[in-house]
Amino acid sequence: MSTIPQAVSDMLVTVKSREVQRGMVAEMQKDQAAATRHFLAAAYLELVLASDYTEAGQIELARRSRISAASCLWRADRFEQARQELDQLSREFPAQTPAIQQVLADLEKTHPEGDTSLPT
Amino acid sequence: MEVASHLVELSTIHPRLLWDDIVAAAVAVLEQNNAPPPFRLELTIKDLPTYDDETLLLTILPDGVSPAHVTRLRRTYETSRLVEMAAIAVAGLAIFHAAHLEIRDIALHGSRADYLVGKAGHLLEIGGRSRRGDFGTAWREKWEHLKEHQGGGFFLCVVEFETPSGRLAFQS
Repeated sequence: MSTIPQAVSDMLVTVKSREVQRGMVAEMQKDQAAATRHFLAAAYLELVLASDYTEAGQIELARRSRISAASCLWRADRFEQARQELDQLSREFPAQTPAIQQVLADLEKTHPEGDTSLPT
Repeated sequence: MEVASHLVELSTIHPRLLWDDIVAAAVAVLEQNNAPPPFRLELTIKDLPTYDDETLLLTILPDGVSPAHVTRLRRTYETSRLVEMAAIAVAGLAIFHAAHLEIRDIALHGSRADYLVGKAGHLLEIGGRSRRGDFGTAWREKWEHLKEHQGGGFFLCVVEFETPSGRLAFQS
C-alpha cells in the first residue's frame, strides 16, 4: 500500500468552514442542539485536517486546526475534551502557550462552562 | 472606481463560505433607508497595494434574493445582528473588487478577527454599525485592537448603514 501522503482536501476545508458558520448561526438563533451538532462536526473535521496537514509537513496549519478543533469542542459543550486538546498543544508547542492560553481565556469569557445561555 | 455587483455573486467569488443568510440580511438592512435598489454604498480604501483609487463605489443589486427569506431574517434576528451580517456582505464584495482576494476560512476564535483572506491567510475583521455617529469609535477601537494583538498583516472593514458608507484598510 502506498505511503505517499495525500494532499489536504480543499473540499474538507470548505465543509469544515461551513459547519463552523452553521454553528455560529445556530448560536445566534439560540439553538443549542443545532450549535452542538455543527460545532462537533467542525471539530472532528479539524482534527482530520490537522492530521492531514501534519502528514503534508504543514505544522503551523496543523497546529491552527487543532486549536480550532478545541474551540469547536468547547462551543459544543465538550469542555473537558477541549481542555485536553489545548493542554496537549501547550506541551507540544511550549512557545505557543501564551497564545493557546489566550484562546482558552477567550472561550471561558464568551462561552462560560455550565452557562446554558448562548452568547449574545 | 464604481462597481456594480450582485449580492448573490458572493457565493461564487467566495465559494468556501455560506452566504444565503448574510446576503438576505444585507438586503434587509440596505432596504431600511427606504432607498430603492440598486443600493449605493461608498467605501474609502486605504493602503491596499492592489488598488489605486481612494474610494470604491459599490452599486449593490439584490436580484435573486428571496423577499420571503429577507422577511424571515427580519423576524429571526435583532437589528444589531442583521447589521453585522450586512457588513460581512459588503466586506465580501469590497475584498473581492479592491483587494482581488478570496475569503477562505473562518478566523480562529479569540484571534480578534472574523475571517482569513487570500492564500497568505491575512486576518479580516468586519464591523457593522447602524448609525454614522458610531463609525469613528468602532473603527479606532478595532484598528488599535488588531494592531496590538496581531503580528502579521490584517484587513479591517467597517460599514455604517445610515449614509451608507464604510472603510476598508490593510495593515501590512
